[in-house]
Amino acid sequence: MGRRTKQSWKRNRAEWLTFLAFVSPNLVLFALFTYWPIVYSAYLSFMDWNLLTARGAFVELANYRVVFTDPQIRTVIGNTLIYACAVVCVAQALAFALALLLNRNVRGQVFFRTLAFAPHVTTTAAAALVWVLLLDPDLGPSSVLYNALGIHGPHFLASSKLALWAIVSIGVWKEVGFASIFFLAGLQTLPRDCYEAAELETDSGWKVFRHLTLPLMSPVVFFLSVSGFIAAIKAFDVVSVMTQGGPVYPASSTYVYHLYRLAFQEFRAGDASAFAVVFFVITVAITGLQFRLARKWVHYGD
Amino acid sequence: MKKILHYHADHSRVIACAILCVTCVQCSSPRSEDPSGPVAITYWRTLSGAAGNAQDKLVAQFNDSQQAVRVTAEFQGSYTDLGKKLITASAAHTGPDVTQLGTYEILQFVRSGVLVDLKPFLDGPDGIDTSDWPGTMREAGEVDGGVYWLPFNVAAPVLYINTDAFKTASIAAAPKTWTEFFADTRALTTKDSSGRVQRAGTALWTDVWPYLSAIWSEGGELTSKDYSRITLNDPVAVRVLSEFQGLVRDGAAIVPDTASGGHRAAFKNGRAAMILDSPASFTDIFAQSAGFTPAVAAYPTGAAGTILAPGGGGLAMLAVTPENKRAAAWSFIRFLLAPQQLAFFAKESGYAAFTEASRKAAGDTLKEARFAVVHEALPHLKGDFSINMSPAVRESFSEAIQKILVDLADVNTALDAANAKAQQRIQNEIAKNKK
Amino acid sequence: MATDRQITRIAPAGSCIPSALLVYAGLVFSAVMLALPFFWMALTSLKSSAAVAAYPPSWWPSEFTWSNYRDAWNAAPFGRYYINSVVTGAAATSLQIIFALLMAYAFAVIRFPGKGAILLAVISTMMIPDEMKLVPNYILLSRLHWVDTYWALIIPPAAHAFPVFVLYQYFRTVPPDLLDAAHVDGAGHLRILIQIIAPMARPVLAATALVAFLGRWNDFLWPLIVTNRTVMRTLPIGLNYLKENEGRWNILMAAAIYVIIPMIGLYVAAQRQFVEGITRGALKG
Repeated sequence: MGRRTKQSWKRNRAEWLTFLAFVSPNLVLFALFTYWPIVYSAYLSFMDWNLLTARGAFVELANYRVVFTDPQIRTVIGNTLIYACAVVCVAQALAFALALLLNRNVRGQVFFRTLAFAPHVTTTAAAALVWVLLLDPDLGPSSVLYNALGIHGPHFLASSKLALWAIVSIGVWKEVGFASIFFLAGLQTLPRDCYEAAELETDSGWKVFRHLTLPLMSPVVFFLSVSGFIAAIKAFDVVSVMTQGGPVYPASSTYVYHLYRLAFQEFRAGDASAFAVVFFVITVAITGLQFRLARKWVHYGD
Repeated sequence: MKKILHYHADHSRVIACAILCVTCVQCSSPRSEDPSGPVAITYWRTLSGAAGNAQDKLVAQFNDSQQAVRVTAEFQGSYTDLGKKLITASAAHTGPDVTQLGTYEILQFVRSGVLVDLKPFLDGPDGIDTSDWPGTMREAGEVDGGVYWLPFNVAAPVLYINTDAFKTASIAAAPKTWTEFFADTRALTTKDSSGRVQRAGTALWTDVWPYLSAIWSEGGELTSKDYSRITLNDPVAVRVLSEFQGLVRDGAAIVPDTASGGHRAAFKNGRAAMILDSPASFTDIFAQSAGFTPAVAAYPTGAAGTILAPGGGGLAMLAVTPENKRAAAWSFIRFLLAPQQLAFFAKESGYAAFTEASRKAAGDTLKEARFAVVHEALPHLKGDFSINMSPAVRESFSEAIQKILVDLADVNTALDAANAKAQQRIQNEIAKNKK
Repeated sequence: MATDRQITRIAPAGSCIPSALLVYAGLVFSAVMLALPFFWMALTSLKSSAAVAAYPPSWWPSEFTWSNYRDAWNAAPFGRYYINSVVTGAAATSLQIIFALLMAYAFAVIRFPGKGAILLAVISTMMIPDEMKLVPNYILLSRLHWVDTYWALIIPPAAHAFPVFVLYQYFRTVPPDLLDAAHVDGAGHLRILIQIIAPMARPVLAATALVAFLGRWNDFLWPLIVTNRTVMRTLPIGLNYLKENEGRWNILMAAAIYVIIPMIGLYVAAQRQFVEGITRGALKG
């Protein structure tokens, strides 16, 4: 008995050591370059510091009070949610529709799949540059149209009402094709016997879609929406290249751009850190919620 | 079983060693300098194209001119990128020795102890004679009695005109005053039979810079240097910006997208007969203007004379520079601001040879009409960047400009709101700066 | 194909030809929307300086100015930028994949108390915006004297949660019998991983490597902050430098094409494997 416990402990110890050895390269790097910055930000969130002086002053919860009373915070959160919803919901609905169209053995599939990938892999800095030109009512392609109609086109980037939508449209443009390729791959692996059985039961295409296709596709939807959401909620590059949150700040600013701007433009690193800590807590909560809800609606085949 | 155990144990050890090697990569010792060799100075710069190459040439000239100091120039992108890099470097208590610097960061940097006071050097035995510097340019970088920033690449705003449009409208010369400018803008505007604007008198952009000179020249003031008196809603500012807004309302001025550099494009393709801009665009505008002859004229003058807001950037020394290297760093700054070098830089880049001595050094090369315009403007430069230096004032005012010119908001309301916002936010800024 | 026929039903009922027309109309519209930015980018990159500023802009230039590509290449040391992007991207990607392989295997196969909590801590790193890590990481790197070196571009991004997550999901689908058999044969974990699991996971590895490389290739803010000398810069930073020359949209667009072409080429070439790999990894519960 005793010998057995000893042996199993030895065995366990070996397993544990192997486990630690396997996970440690990543864990050490995470500790240095991810967890440490979080701890550091948490520390800074109680300080008044502008990044420049030797050290800051301890200000207790004052920075968190700023987070919740910042007059711009509502717009910024609203913009971030609009952007994330557009990129997750609108883009994916469009992508799904597109995949359904593509799945009908149409001509030019190869061409289309190539085209669908391109926006997603395009460097945001480059994409945002060409969109600046595209949306310009004088220098962009639509100029020809406006000119023919004799009207003056909308200045998307110079308008406080439209600038956010310019940013949203790039986000959707980058996501639609990419998501549609995954939906298409999913659609092409759907088991055909299920469909044959369903055909006997109902005549309604919608019902088949709602009760068969959609549940079968739910893992794809879940993966794309979670990964899309995580990326969208952190939107920064597009804003930084295209509008810097303007034309009248914070008309088109997102949460992450806002905290970046606080630190680097307004010299309020303490406030920015408090914003960052709140952001981290909220995103972890939302993602956790997504995973929990997923148990209810995501059906994995096996 | 035992065999497996051995396997595990061995591998975990091997892997542990590997990880140690990967993570504890050599913490190389800081670059040690040979005390007997030349002093190494790092210079961070901005500006690409001709103005960037000219700086690299100046650095090479400096290194060739003596043996004691070796300067390495490192390009850091736009003023904004450079500013961000300096902030991050300061957070880590590092950075270059000498840097080019825009005007936005000066005040915060000085108050946080990031920059070195250059006054002792400036007035010392190896100083610079600033008696021939135009207007109040020496005061531009003055904070709390110290001098932390010296102008280097200086631009005076100019007026670009489409000479063909002027001929068609039978206007003999470029507008001399703001009143003439507003009248000419209307006169230069052509509409077709249906009332659509074919060519606008001017294309405006939503930056503070072009309007600041107009407000100053008409006798307005937006803020005192210490921000104790902020008057973004100064009646003169209201009047001047109302005039500009009137042009937009009447279709005499268009406001293209600033993001795509639209106002320049509008001038180049003939859709706007004049633009208010920097001489830094000389090359572009003269090379790309299609179907007409462009020319450069002096910026209009106002009721209070000609008062111009300088554009461009300057030089600063960082406090991270060790005491024993500061003299060397200063010798480099001094070299860049010497008459010969300023003249060289002006010739290569299109920026102004802004001191009297450098203008003389440049000789005939700067006599060409468009350069002459810039150099005649220099004595009127007002070395006051207080609008730029406070985020509160700068952002409030530029928001107002955007609202007035693009959203066509009521000028009084927009400027009152901007003034209130600036005054409220400046308290916070001043409180933080005092700490 | 049965599947095809079934899914056709989802479209509103109607005769065959209009529905086919609708499908093609939808596809053509989507294609135009997806392609327009690329078309405009390519078109602008071939316009002469005067044509770029023309109003209204032409949809087809009267002459193609191929020299823009030469000018863009000469405007900044793009050759060097390519080398930097490829070297640091490949190095960081390799490390990411190797480390993720080890970690994912450990999570999926090896017993360890509190494994779930560690996994959660790893996954949650995906929720942290890079902008938040900027200053602390810069300070750390500057202490290590890594600023303005390849280390700065390779080591901090070498650990990423995404490949861990995808590989972990995939490894959970490996039949336990297979591992047991290997164990009985006397193979240790590392050998099982290298000889059995990794070869099986090749499509998933390739897909995650593509994602990792794309992330490195397109990264902007971090390389901007941690590199000082031109010789250390990567492609997106180089592109940003050209932005300074306002109004030269033709040169800028030519440079943008230099930056995006390799990635588009890579993904087009590997797209089937990519989709299959991600699907196998991430979509299995």
